[in-house]
Amino acid sequence: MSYSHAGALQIINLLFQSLLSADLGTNEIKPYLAKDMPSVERQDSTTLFTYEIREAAEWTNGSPVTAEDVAFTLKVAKAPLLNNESLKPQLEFIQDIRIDADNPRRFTFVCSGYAPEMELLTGDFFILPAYLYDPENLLRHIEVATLSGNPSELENDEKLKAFAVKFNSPDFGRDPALLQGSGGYTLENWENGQYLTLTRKKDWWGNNTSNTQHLTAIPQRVSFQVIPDMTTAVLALKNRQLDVLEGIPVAEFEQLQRQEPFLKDYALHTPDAYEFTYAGINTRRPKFADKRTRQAIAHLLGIESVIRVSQQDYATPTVGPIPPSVADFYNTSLKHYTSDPAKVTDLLKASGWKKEKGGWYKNINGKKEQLTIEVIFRAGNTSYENAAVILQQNAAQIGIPVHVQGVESSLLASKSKQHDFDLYFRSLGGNPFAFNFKPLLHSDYAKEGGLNYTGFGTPESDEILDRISGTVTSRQEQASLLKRLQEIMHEEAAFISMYYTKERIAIHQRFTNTKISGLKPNYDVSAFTLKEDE
Amino acid sequence: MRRIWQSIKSLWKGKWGFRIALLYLALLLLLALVLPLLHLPYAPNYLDLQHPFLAPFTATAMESGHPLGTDGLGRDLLANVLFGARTAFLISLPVMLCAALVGMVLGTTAGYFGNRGLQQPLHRILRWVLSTPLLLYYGLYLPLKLYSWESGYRHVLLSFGLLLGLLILLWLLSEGLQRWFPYWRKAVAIPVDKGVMRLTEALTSIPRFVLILVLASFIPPSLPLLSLLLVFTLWPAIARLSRAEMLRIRQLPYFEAAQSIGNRPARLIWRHALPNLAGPVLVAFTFGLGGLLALESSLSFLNIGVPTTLVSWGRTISSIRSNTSAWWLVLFPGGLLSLTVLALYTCSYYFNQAFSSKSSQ
Repeated sequence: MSYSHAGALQIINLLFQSLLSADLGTNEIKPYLAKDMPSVERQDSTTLFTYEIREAAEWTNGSPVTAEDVAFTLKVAKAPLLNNESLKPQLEFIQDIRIDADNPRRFTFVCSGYAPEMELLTGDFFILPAYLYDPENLLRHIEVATLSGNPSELENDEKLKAFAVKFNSPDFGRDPALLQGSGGYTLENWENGQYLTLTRKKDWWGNNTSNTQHLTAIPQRVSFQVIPDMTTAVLALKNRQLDVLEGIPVAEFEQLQRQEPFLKDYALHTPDAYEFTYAGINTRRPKFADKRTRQAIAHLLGIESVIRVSQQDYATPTVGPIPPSVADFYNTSLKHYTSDPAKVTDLLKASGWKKEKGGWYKNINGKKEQLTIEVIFRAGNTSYENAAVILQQNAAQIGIPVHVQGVESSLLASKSKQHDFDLYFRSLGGNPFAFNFKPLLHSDYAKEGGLNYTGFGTPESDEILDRISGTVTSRQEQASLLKRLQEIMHEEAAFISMYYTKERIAIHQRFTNTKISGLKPNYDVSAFTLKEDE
Repeated sequence: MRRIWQSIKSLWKGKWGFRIALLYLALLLLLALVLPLLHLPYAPNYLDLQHPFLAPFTATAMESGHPLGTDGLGRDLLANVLFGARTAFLISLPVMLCAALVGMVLGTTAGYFGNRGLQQPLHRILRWVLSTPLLLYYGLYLPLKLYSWESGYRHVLLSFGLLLGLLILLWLLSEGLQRWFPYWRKAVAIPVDKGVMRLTEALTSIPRFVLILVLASFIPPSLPLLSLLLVFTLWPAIARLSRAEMLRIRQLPYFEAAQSIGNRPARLIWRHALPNLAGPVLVAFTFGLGGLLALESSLSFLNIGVPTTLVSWGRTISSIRSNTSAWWLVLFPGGLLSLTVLALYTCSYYFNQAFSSKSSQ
């Protein structure tokens, strides 16, 4: 099931289930459809993950969820012709599925290579009901293993073609009769652009599993209102028309926090989100080749001011891409870059810049060059714009001209891919379960078109990234590698992580067991319980 | 010109609404001109990061020297409102003047010559047709490109020299043509009116906003570019007006008399047509100025086509989006913008009254 909107995940979460998922109450990965965490067996070039689906698990029509459904989902994700582009690369590493002949709920994923995050990834996709999606068994004759190779000959397969026509039709993502999974809810009503209502299944199998706290479907009905404009949404919240609202703008959130009558009805939460903002410096430009120049710029970013002004303190400064809330991976021995004009001057002098009238100059390859910075960011984003203007003012005090320019997002993407920038601001989101920064930071990806836009990379950092994504065995080892990586990144100052934001959520006081988390979707609506005293 | 001055003087004496509006505009213009000499406590782009979203006239606001408060980045509202007025005038006045000039020249020539009035021999037409692209390429495009590459003045001079040489060559060619081939001596009527009208139609059929949006998506925003674009899209309105007026004036008895005693076209237009034209054009000018002020603010509000560092009323108003309770960010610049546009429209209204009564007499 592919989706393009963060809000959609929230809803799919209530309709469908994956083998594993994060419990928002504890921020731990727990088995959902699976009985237990998978058993892992590493062979030379392959790794086997064996799962068993819960006995009680069943679809809406009462038939059990089996390994055949998992196989069907894999086929849907991997088959050509189907519009599933976002899921395809994510599951590329799963080569085959072996179903236990004796137990139809037991199966083994055959995966190529090994990476620590594979355990999560093998369980992190929604399982689809084969009986509902493919009643004519159009995909039965196709093997998962054949889809992993080069399945282009399958594009002429008549049955697959027939299935693709059905699957790619817009009805498939909208029809309440089809949007039914093993989750606790079914779609009741969907008025496009207005609202969407889910009702609890009468006798959901999850209610009978006694050993779990995370499999929940407590509210009788869940209704989502579509309010495209945040200002209107906040107004609706103030009028007590909503029970839950997330992503409240900082200034509004500040105001709500000061309103006594509002706080009587609503609880405000600010969990640490897993999204951070960073500044990327183009190390390929000769003027930024020296790391001391980049460190000087890092000191000019004024991270504290940016947090105070554009996030109004709903953010935590960070030294690297590891969230400070993940204590055992975060390198506490490092200090984030602070505003320090004296230090900037020292660093610039040390890297060979000379202050003359009108700015800082240095002879680079026989040509006298001035230190100027052109900052680009996505136009219309106030936080980036504020950060850029603050950098501009701080740099002007030292005598470095900074040109600030908001650019349209597709232009920003092409500029970063072609390495045509001095410095940009961007945000990245993630989760606390996998820290694989290889595509972002490894020098293998620094070629034009690769994701390593800044050109960051030392032989040591490359080795660390390779080890983290391939051979690491224990959490301790991973921690020490990540800490060293943060140290190198801090030193190199090419990819300067600035701050991790906090989510801003308001939830009505009449609920308890809301399971607030920094992980998307930030709260588990299926667990909401009404307080007893009301 | 004296007649215009006379009408303005009588309006000033007779209509108090006109007097207030004009006085307000003059004051604002004066303020915009002397602003750099005044010593404001803060520059408009200075970020006072200790005091973001400061409400006006509060104790902290007075103490920190921001009597009108600050925006989300601690920029002083007073300085921004005043310098915003300066930006508004510095953009809209020159742009409107250029547009009026271009529009009047093209409109009056179209109106005066019509489709048959301008006859030129073929060899001269050929010379013009060939020299225009040369002028544009070697005289404008290449020097600008060379200038932006910082390749020194020698190359620019070389380009101009090349242009001069080519123009002389063209002149020699056309002279030769007319001397040896009688065909090239034949005079042909140039449809000036048709040409100008088709051009205005083409330009007015594209919405200005769409044009700016499209351009902004692939060219970095800058003030000269925006001004050029505005001139380019504003002149047709004035051109149409001047053409219509010119057609009317051409039929007036005194104009025909002046024509019959053998005045040259340039003198006819300058001495007899322009003074009659100036009134209606002034109305359109003030009206256009008001519209332009509003357009510039909306562009800054949307952050399209203007650099982020440009101080303007629209930019200040747009910061309300990150904090809807900061009413002062809309009230002061928005109020000043409305007042200025209102004053311009008031002036335009009275001008219209004065000139329409005069021409109907």
